[in-house]
Amino acid sequence: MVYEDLFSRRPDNKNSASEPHLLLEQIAAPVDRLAAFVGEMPVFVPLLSVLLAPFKHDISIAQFMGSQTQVALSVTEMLITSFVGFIAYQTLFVYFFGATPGKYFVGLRVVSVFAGKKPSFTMCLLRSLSIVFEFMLLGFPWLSAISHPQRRVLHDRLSDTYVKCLDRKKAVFAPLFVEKQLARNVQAPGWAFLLLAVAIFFNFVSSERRDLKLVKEYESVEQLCQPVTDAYQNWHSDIDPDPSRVAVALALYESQNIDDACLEKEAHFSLWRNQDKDLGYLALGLSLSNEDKKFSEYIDKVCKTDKGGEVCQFAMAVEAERSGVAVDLRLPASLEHGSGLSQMPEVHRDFIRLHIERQLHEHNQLSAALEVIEKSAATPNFADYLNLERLKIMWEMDRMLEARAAFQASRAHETGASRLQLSSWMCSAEVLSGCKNESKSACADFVADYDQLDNEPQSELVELNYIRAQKCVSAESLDYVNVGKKLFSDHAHDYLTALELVEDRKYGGARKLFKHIADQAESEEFQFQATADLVKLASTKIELDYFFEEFLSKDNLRAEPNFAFELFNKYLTLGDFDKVAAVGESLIKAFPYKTSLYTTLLKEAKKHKRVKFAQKIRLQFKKMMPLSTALESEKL
Amino acid sequence: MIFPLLKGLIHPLKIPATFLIVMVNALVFIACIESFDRSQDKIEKILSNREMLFTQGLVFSQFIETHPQEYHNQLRDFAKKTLAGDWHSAHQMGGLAIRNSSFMKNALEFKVDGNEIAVSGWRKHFKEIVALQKEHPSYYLGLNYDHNSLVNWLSYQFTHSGFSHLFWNMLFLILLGGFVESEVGTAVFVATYLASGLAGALSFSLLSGISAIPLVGASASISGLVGFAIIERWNQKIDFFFWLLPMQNYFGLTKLPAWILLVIFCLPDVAGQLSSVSEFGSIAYSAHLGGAALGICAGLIYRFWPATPVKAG
Repeated sequence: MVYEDLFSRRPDNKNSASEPHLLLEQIAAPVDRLAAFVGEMPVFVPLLSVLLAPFKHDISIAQFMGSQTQVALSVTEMLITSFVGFIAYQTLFVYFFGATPGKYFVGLRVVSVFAGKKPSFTMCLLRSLSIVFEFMLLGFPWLSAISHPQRRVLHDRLSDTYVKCLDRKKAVFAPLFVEKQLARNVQAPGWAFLLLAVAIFFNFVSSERRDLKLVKEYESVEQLCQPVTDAYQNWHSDIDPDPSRVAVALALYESQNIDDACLEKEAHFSLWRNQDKDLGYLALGLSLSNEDKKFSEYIDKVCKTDKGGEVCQFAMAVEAERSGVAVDLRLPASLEHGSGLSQMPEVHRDFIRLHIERQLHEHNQLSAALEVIEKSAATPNFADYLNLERLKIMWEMDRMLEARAAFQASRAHETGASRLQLSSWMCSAEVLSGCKNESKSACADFVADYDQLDNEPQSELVELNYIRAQKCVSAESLDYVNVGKKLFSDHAHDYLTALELVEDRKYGGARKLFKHIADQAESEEFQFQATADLVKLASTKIELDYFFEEFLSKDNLRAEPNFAFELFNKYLTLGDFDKVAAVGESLIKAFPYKTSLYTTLLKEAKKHKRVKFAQKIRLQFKKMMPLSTALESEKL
Repeated sequence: MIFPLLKGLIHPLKIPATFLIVMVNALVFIACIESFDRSQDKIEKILSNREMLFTQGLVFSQFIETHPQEYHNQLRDFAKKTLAGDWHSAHQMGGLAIRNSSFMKNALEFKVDGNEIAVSGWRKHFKEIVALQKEHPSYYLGLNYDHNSLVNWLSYQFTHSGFSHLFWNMLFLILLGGFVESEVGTAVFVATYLASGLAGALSFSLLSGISAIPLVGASASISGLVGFAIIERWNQKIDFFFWLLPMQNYFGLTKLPAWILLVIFCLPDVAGQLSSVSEFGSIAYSAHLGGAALGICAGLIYRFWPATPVKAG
């Protein structure tokens, strides 16, 4: 039996099948009750849908308006109304007619076990409430229709009723042994299923709550780009205290603080709110720079709107740069030196200067880029970004002593996240050129800054640099457990595990993890580092050549040169001059001020008697550094 | 499942008007299918352009802001939200715009203040849609803001938007039309059928408002026949096919009072009308209800008309 009837006498085992203990007549067969339940639907569903219609209406609107809170509220109201509706339907039909329409159709009646006639109103109500309770248990209690000696389901027993069949021929008696056995066998998996369903339901509810929380946050913030909102609200400037929002977005875009999607949102906002439309078109053009036609269309539109003003000049310069006409940046530079810039709002000057600086940096015009940075020193809102840029440029120009001094000076007056960014970059730059005393000092600073912001998740790149820093700072073996505690990113944890595996000489596992990071890491630099580690583990020339193919497809060497340098060193060890020359030339293109690269390549050329190549390298060196005598000793 | 069989399939010669109407519907469908598919595909292709839909949503939002008196609060709020930078809503607004008659009528003359490049692209696409609608059978035969003459009030009843739409309507027409025609004669049947269609169009224009999306289909007229049949038979038993369980004795034919049709057919339409939002809905419940109401009135008149012969049973 599925549920024991507490009020009934335990039946005698021998006679239970044929001897019900209450003399009930014409007990309805379970199959008839099931048919009655199905037959209920054509009547109950239309009635219920009329009752639920207003809630459905609200849900449609709430869904359209994107208000998940309202949807959740209406669904709850709908559920409650459904139960109330069901209780009313069951109670009233059974009380007035002795059966619901479905039962009526199949020829069943609900009868009081004591009076043998229609049940009282209380009995009907109790019966309906019990059905709702059983429904919440996914209808499992209904199984007792096939196992109970009187075929009475929980709601029948609770309300002292039973279901009578009008057709004597279709009536059934107490369940047969087979039926009881069936119910018993269904019971255990039934409860297991119910538990599983409850677990799934709670999981669903908790995830819905999470979603609801997220939605609330989403509803509470502006739908525009959050970093722009933050920068706009915290904008500090004496000259221009109330800047244009889209201009702030442009400046953030040029300082690589926001991406294309974010800039596009801001551009639409400016255009459709009719605010600074020239800048709006410029921002939209820049954000769609992957689509040539649209880019040109929007940049041209800037000039139609701005009618030859500074924003137009700037837009034309950007278009010229893109088409390769003005890679030397004459136009933006002329704008910079001209009188126009000084008359512009401060934020316009900011994004134009930031753009010029970035372009100059990208085109290896490092001294000019430094000049722009010095001119922009008064820009208070982007001082942190420019400090880091200054550091990067000095480092690339091999002016390491100056860079270290600049780092110490900037670090002294920066705080929080910007200080961490600065020290993180400095440490990684030092470590990439070898873990020496200077590197240890920079990395110790970084570790101190990182530990100060304890328990704050950082970007993948900062966490990678933390591992690099700890590796360099700890003279002996790395304390994997303690370092791991400070990391939040999964990939950083994987990377740490991979390093531990390398230390334990378990290269197979380490390779798998490095490969995973190289494929999956969010940060491109992290991907490069993992690939560099794979190159380090490569033991055959075939493996190296595979990475060489990958190297040829990369064009962002400056962001993270570790991979290329690792490949370069590996080929140097193997003595494969052609590959050394190919990788070396790419490295020179990315880092034209690295004297050591020219020296190594010249030595290799001499070793392999490649006179023409050596001449080419020497010429390139003279072009980049005409006053340097660093290669004088490397005679051909 | 329960389904009214009424008198089942009746010989076509006994119910000529029903079969004539079925044939007219089928012929209209066959004649229009090619141009329907062609224009529908093109319109859907244009509307699948996210940029076009996005711009249209923003233009529509501005349109609502400049014509607030024509729109209810919810739509006005939604337009505000869109223009405040909720770009996700802009796409949804773009979808709604195409259903709005006032916007469709005036959009091309409306002075838009926004991204001019996107707007000029949108105008091009919008003109294409308007041109395609002109050759779309559902538009010129259906009932919409641009085609609102008496001819359309009649022609929409014979136009369908797809094969399944036509099939189900015709199936019910054969069962219900056959029943009514055989009971009351061709003249009363045809009058009820056409008048129910007109009443459907009237209630649609009053309750939902004639929009840019055309009203098509014989559903309103068929609802009229349902209403008529309910009143004409009311408490008398009619044949239904039922299917409760896949077991012997649990499916087959049964006799139930005619008013059951009211629960099975009319209540879902009431629920649909109460729950649907006229801007988003695709089923014209209000037309069904209008048709059914006329059918009920016609049934009452027929039933209580002094000249009506009293039926046995």
